[in-house]
Amino acid sequence: MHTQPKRPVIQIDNLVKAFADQTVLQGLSLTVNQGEILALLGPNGAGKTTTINCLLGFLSPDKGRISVAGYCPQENAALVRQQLAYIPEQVALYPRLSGLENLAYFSKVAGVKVADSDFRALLEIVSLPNHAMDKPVSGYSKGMRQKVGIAIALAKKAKVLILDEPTSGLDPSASHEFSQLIQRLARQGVAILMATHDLFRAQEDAHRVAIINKGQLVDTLSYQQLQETQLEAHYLKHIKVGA
Amino acid sequence: MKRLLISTEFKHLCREKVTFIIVIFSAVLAILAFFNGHLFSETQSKVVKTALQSQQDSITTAATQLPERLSTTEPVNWWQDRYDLRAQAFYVMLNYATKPPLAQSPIAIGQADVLPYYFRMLVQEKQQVVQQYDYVHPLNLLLGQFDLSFVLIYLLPLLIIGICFNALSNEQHNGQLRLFLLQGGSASQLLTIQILLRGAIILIPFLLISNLLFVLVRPHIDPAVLLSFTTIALLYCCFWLALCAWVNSRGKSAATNAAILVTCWLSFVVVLPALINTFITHANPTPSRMQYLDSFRAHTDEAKKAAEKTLAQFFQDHPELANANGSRSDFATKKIATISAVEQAMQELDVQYHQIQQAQLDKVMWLKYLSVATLTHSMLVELSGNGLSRHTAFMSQVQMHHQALKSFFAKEIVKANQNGDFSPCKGCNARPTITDLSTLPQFDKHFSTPNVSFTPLFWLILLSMLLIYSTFKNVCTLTRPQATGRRGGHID
Repeated sequence: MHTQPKRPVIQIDNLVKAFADQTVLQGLSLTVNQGEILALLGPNGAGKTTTINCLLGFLSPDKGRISVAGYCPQENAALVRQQLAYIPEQVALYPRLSGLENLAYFSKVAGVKVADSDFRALLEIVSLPNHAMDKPVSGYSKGMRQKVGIAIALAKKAKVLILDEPTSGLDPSASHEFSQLIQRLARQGVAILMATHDLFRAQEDAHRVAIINKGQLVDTLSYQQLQETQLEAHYLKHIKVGA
Repeated sequence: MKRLLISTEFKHLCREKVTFIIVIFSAVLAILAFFNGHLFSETQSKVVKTALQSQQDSITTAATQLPERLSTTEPVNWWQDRYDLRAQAFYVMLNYATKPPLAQSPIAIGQADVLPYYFRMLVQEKQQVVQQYDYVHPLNLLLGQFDLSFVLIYLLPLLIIGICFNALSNEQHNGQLRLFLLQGGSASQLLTIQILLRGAIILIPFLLISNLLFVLVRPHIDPAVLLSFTTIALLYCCFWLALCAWVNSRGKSAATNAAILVTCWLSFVVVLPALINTFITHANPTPSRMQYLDSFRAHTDEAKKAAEKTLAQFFQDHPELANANGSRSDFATKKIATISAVEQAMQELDVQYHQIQQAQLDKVMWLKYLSVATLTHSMLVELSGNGLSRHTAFMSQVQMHHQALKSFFAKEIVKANQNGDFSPCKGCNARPTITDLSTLPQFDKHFSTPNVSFTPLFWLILLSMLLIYSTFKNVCTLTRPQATGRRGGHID
């Protein structure tokens, strides 16, 4: 089911980030390899979103080094963003445009040059119902928006996909569909970092799991260990220890 | 990329009902404002036309009825006799000084409803003919006319604020900006296109309709005037668009942006002009009109009481009229002498009024730069020909015409009196002393109008450029990786 990890695409080394009142990341180090899905687990406030913001180039780390597809996001934001796709908890699309129009717009902004029929095909790949493609996104469910988000990533042929709570609020069926889609992307060689609270999906989909608490990496589980461990108990043990 | 951003922004706008409401509103405002100004100007044109027609009719009628008057044996009251110089000078003359509205008058009615635009000239003290209106300084006169300038100065900025307050900030707070930036888009390009397109949606209908109406309804308008009007309107709206862009670039919520922009509108369009107005009024208060009238009455009474002395002074001032047997003077000569005496006595007060007006004008000249609204409005009012510059030129011409009429009648009346035309024999009618009314001095309506100064436009351009520069700096800061600040960074 899972492809073997290849070379590292995301590298975070000793990342430190502090805001006025608190240090959010305290020497975090992580690696995500090509074709790998890394689930980043941690309680609220652990530093998951701050890590993602540093990877996306929206925040500058105080210390440490980040590399995404070989480039530093803070110094080469444009180059990093060419290689990267991001799907947040709520995919922010233009509500008055249809799914197809949103896909075409954001893809063209990224410089993707494909015919409109190909955009439709991409939406078919992510299983967006045909009747919904031309309807305004304002009427879409959260799962449908996530699918459009995936289609945007597909169109861009991103080498790195960063997901922030992607399955939060999705029904089990939509969540399952979503996990199939990201696994397909991983098989195509995309490095995927998925910050989530959904332990079930993390155990099902991830090749590795990293648990962080208070801005520090407290444990990592390999694919083999994931298969042999009760993830929930393991996670709670670490979080309580860290608390 | 630009084409993509434009087409997508256009799609967004087309799918917003409020866009259509704003476009229709802008068009309706242009139509309403144009016709309000046009009808006002038409009314003035009709009044001027009627006055000039009655002046022409009086000349024609006098020429036609002259034989009848010459042959009449019935008694004729001299003060009703159109062929009597004295009646013409003081009572029956139809001689008008007029300021017809220009073709571009509907741009800004401005001061046209306050300042006089025609005078019926009689030989009276000039204080009774040309100075019977209160002086109101220009800023006071810029308020409240529902004309094109009112729509442009007051209402279009509100529409611009209404449609631009959430440019970029909407994307920023709903998350599309994050996705857009990650796709490699440029936030400054997005903001520029949003602001320009939204501005165009408001400005294009307004300018198209107003220019089209001018061409169709007032075909004599100079195309250069329309070009000037369009340029002023574009630059004024550019300022507001730049201000919207700047406020949006600061990364606040749409509601905060709206509050800031409305405050700016209130400051520039309402509060600052009112403050300037109040300051000028208090710094150089206009003297009381009552004081002026009281002084005028006092001088008139004094001159009438000292009639003989006044007459002597008159002939001393006009020795060319005091030739042979000049000692015999009638009512008319005395009246003209009194008029001249009162005018001379009032000269000091007139100069005082003029100096105050000038002091107010000097202050207006500089203080109007504090508010873009005042600055633009002043230019539009001057461009429309309803401003103080053209009015000053008109009033100067009216005074010259009044002087010409007075001199003409003084000379002719003294001559007729010396000839004994007013009382050829005891109990008989006076001889006709003016038979051709076309020989009366006529008002020269081609008075020169000073050119409108477009220098203030450079101030508008400078302000807009500063705002645009600051906007791009803000957008760069907004999209740059944040070293400090909120946990989510500026782009949530």
